Amino acid sequence: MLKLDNISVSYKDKVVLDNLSLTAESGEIIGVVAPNGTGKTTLFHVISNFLKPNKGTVIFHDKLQYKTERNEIAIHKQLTTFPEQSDLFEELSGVDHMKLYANMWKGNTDHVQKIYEQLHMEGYVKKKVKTYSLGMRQRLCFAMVASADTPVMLMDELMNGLDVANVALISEYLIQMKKEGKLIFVASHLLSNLDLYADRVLYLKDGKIIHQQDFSRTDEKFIKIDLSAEQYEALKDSLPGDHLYIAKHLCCIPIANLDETEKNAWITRLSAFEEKELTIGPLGTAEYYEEYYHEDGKSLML
Amino acid sequence: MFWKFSLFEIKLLLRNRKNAFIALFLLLFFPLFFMYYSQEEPETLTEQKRAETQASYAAFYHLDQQRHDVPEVAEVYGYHTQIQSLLGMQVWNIGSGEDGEQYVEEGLEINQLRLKVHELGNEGIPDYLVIPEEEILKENALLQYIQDNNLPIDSESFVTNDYFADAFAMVSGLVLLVIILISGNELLVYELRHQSVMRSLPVAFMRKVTSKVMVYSIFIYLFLLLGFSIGNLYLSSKMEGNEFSFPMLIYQNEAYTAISASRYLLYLFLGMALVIIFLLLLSILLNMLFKNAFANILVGLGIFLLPDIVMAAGYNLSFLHPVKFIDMSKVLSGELAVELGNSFIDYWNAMAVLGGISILLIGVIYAMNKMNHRRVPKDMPLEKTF
Repeated sequence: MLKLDNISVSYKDKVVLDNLSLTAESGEIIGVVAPNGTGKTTLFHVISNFLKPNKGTVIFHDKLQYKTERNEIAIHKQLTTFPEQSDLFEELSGVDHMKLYANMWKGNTDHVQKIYEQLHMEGYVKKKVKTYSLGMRQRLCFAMVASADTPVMLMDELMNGLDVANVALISEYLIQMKKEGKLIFVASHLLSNLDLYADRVLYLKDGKIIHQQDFSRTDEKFIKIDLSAEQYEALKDSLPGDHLYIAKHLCCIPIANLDETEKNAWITRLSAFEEKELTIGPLGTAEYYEEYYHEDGKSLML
Repeated sequence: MFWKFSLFEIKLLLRNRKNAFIALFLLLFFPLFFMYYSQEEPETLTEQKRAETQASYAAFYHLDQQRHDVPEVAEVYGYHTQIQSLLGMQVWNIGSGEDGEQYVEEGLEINQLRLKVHELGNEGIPDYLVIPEEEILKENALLQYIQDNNLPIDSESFVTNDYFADAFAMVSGLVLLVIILISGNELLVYELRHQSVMRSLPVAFMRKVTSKVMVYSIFIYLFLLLGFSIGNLYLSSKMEGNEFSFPMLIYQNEAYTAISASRYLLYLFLGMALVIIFLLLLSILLNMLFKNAFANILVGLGIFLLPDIVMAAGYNLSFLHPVKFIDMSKVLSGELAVELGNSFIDYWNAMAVLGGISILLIGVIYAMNKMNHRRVPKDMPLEKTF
């Protein structure tokens, strides 16, 4: 459905995206993870043609490219981007905003009421935006994209400013949209939340996708335990070569290449660290994040 | 999609206080103007004719001193004798004689005589007593119209027509320009302030431009019409005349022609419609070039004042004249033709030129948008603005 082919974006000596390629299909939620300023928004801007890259092409449905304005309109009819809170019209109501998006993409506003009811916005949606709190605005931005109801949605900083209940509400809505066959890109710092609904999570670093975490793969399981640097040093030499020691605290041993005996042996051995919790399962987004961005992982939110 | 986008533009327009002030100004301008001017007692026809008679007496004094020595002065004196006599008859006919038709006949005769005096070079008459040829031709056109249409000469409609001309002389030109520049200063620029909301809308740029120009021109035009209608209602309640069949003067084909007030208003409102569209298109272009609301007003005003500045510097560049065509009242009255020393500036020529420039502006806006889409990034990525 969507293909990015060798996308490069660079400003003088700063490379933001470097020969990045990606394919995405409908019915997928793709998380994009990286610290601030490492190209998530740039990637979304390239996909939506708000930014023409120095190199590379964006292809929709194997043929449509941003070559002419006509093509751009044809692509934009299938794609919405998540608005920024600060760009909302203060003098208009939430419903006005939702109706704009509903009218522009769907051509009618019949579904708007259902959406704001589902997102529990009835109490304020008819008031002017200038009276909204941060969380209300964020929910409105989501409701606008939901009103547009396009096959492709780009949601940058989706969960910003939302409380736990609203994060759960929107996560649920995202899962529902995925079932409807939407292709949704979500950039979020709420890492463990991505694990709930994302099919894939892309990790960007130095302009490249350095890792693609596929939640549909069940063979990427690890024995995980928190170890101090000293404890790790003591074990290090006996650990399998493909083990990970993430952010100087989480030791992960992949079990894909271990037989039952080896697996049990490691479980028994690591159980000796009684005060530490030992778990078996895939690495979560937060753990990968620590793995790749430990040095600059200041904006991490577990 | 176009109409839905236009509806959203209307919504934004209505929520913007700036536009509420513009609407209020347009609504109140005409009623207040007419209210103020109707307080003044207009000069009656009898008073006008008496003043003319006095001026004519003064001319006689000068002519009498030279007529025995200079034959041309003697000829002028002869004509002036007839003019003096006819003026006296006119005063009688609009007074006790009560014969409007005769008054008009005499007026036309006076104008012919005055033109003959002009042909003789106004010999013997001091400059301050010379009636300009323009004025003679204007009055002649008016009287001819009155005669052709068999209109009464003492109707208050003549006064209301003067009010119309004065009101439009004040509102057209600079005032209308400022109103449109303020109203349209954010046509595209506001989208930059709401970029993440507006940028991805699946509407072609030229459709957006069409929608914006349409919505704002209808808004300004509607309130201009409403304001004038309210003002006219006020005049109707205060004065008797106010019939639109009475004559107003326009400059056309290098001559002055009298047309009915209804046709004058039709011309003027048609002209203003074109001016509004032209200035909104200019605002779009300035928005694209400068991406700044204040620049729109400053540059727009600068362009309008440019011909005046150039003329003050001693140059009369005819290619700058079209800028002044936005003052439709001056174009219609012929004042602009006189001011710029360009006798070709009349209503239809101005309309054709403004129409042509508007099409040119559309072409430039279209081409700039096309170029933006065709630009290929080299060293830096390119950001989409609108």
